Amino acid sequence: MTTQPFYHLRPNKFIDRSLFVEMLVGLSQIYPISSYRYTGFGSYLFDDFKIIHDTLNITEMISLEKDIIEYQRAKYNCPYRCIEVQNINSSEYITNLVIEEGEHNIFWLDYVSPDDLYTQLCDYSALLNILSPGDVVKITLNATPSSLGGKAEPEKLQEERFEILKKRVGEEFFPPSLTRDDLTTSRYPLTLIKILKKVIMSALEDDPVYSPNFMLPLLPCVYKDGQQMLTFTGIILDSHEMETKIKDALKSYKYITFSWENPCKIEIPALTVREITEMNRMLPSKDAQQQLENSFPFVFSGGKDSLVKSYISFYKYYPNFHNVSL
Amino acid sequence: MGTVALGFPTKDFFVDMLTRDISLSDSILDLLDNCLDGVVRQKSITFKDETSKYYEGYYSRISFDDSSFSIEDNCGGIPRNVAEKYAFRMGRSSENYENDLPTVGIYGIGMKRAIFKIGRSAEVITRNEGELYRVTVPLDWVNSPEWDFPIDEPEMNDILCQGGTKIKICNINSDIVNLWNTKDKVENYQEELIKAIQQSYSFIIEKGFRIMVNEKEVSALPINVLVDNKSSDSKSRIMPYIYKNTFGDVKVSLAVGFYASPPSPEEIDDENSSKRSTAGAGWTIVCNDRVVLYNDKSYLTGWGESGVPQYHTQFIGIRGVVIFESNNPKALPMTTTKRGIDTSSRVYSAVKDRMKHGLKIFTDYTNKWKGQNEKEREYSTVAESVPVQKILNDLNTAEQSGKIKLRQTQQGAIFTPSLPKPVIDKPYRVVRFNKDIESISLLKEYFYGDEANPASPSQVGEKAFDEMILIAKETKDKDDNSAVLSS
Repeated sequence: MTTQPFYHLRPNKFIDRSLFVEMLVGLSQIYPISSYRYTGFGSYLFDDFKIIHDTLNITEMISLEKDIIEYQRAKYNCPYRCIEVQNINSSEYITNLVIEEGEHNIFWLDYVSPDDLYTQLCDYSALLNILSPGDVVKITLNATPSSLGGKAEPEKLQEERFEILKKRVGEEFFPPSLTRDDLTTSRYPLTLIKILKKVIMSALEDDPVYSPNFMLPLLPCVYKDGQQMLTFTGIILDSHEMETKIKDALKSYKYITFSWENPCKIEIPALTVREITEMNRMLPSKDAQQQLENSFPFVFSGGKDSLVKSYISFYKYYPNFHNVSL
Repeated sequence: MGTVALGFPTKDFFVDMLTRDISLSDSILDLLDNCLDGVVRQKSITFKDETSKYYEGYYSRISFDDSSFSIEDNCGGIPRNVAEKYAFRMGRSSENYENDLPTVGIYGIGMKRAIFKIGRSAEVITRNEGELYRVTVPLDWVNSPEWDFPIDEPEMNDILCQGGTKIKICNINSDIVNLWNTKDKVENYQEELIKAIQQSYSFIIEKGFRIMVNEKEVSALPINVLVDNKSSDSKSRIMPYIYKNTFGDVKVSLAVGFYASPPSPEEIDDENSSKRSTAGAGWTIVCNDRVVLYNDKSYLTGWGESGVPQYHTQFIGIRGVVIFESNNPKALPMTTTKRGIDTSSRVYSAVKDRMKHGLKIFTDYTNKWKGQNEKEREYSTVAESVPVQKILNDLNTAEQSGKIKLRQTQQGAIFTPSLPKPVIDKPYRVVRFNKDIESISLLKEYFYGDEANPASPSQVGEKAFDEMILIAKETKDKDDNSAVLSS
């Protein structure tokens, strides 16, 4: 993680995180979220831990750090006493985790390494298998096709990457309907959702008699601050009544689609403070897209309207970074 | 010219199909299963007490040579109406004559199959509720058009007095005669059969059932795992993973752990070159006391699935047992042959998740200690080897004394052991290489002054590495010092 420059300054990830927290706020109308335990990979910056503690008042928090050196740095930088940093990899942590009846959890498996996809899926599966109804899990996966590698000439590259993905995911979790056409930059995140769906189904839904649990998808997101990433958040339920209740409680959050198919795309360009100020003065408005495109051709040019749409959807969450003297 | 096409089966075809896919030992085990069902029918107790000697007082006596095979039990005999209507028919009628009793078998094909696997004629004498009768399989049965078997009531007051069945098979098939026609061959097969019986019936023998093969009593072969009762540190000791739950009318208990320390690199080499047996490792699955899968190391029991590695020699020390019990044998996850797991069973798929969970704890542990076997053994050699059945039976006591704490989860009651962890101050990597024996001996002599020193090749390699490290460090220190001086 430390090899990524300005880890905490990535605006699109920042928005993805803000949406997650806002969604948890929405869920706290129904569930006692503040008494949940939050487990994530806080690294040494703890961005997620800070905002989750500050906003939701969750006080039982566990941050997993596998590297011994990073672990020491994490402990040094730990912002709150209620965060317990453990020097353990997530795989081992999940294997040894026993969740007693009545305990509730929010997990964010914020994976970065594309090479370990199989292990990541296995851990996700093992976790789903032991969580309880009402528990929330978010997983981050690298969704950049080039992260699959491949050295073939351009015509054959997709084919090669398809084979690499198949190998990485393993027969168990690979949906047979996928083809090499599913490995383009725009479709790869959907492909990963399909794979996640297969993992979820095999972990939860093959056994309805003894475990009625299923997963309601809440918030799939695709963002890019360099590498294209997919995050997928779902809640484990055991009754469709709760599903209706949740859909009702979260209905004002437009980006929550409860769907496996429509991830929200966060791709806001890097903007100057002046640009942000001027753009926000035009928002919200019905014909904002046209206005913004006309006023900022130097930002939103190139015929792709996803940037401007993304900004209109998420301008509220766009972070401002400034130099500060302390 | 006829008006119909003949469709009835020939007996030859039937007998051939019946006996083709079963081994001799398996067909004898079928006969033993019938004995055990007799016990259950006899006792008519619905739920079996887990700790009791349920089969106490019952036996089955098998004897064979190249002229005959017999099996005699005192398990209550076959009810006459069962013999008349079902037990000798080719195939099982759908009518249900067995009430809800926890039996493994359902009188089906087993007895007929065993008879025709072994020989061409037989008599089955049985005494049920005092009444003795005999069913005869005549020598020419295969060639006659008659499908039914004659029943008569011979005067035999001195046999099967307690109620039971004696099956005597004669006119042994020539391929079986070949297995049994010398004393050595009989002894050899006897050992093989005893081993097969131990693998399948140890839990039943433990509960009091006696099995004799040519007058040799078969002892139980308990499945043990390591339990550390001594060390005071409950946060760091070798214990098994334990799980208990009830699914409808099926009770499940499971324990998985080490039965031996994880192997050292030499032991893995020995294993790979078949110098050591891998037989002890794997999962054993028990349905109503009957082992239906023995030491399995395949995907059937979770190896190589969802993050659990495939079985590999380094996991030779891992062993687990799952015990299913039910009054309703149809609910048990076993195949109708009683020699396999029914993977489509929902109970099994729920339990398999826990099997994988337990397994992963021990494969992780093995991987983590790889290359540090000596340190690892400080823990695993303190633990003692305890039969799994005893561990599961004594769970309540262990809970009261605080040794084991089962935690109630949505998936059932679970005990997860806190296994010892290696102290990692810096990352370790395994170094392995092959060198010729001559060079190893040379180094041995160099280090220990005697090439006959018992040091193992890997110890010699490690010594060479350690010595070289000292030299490298010294050189580096010198260089650093001279760098300081010259600045």
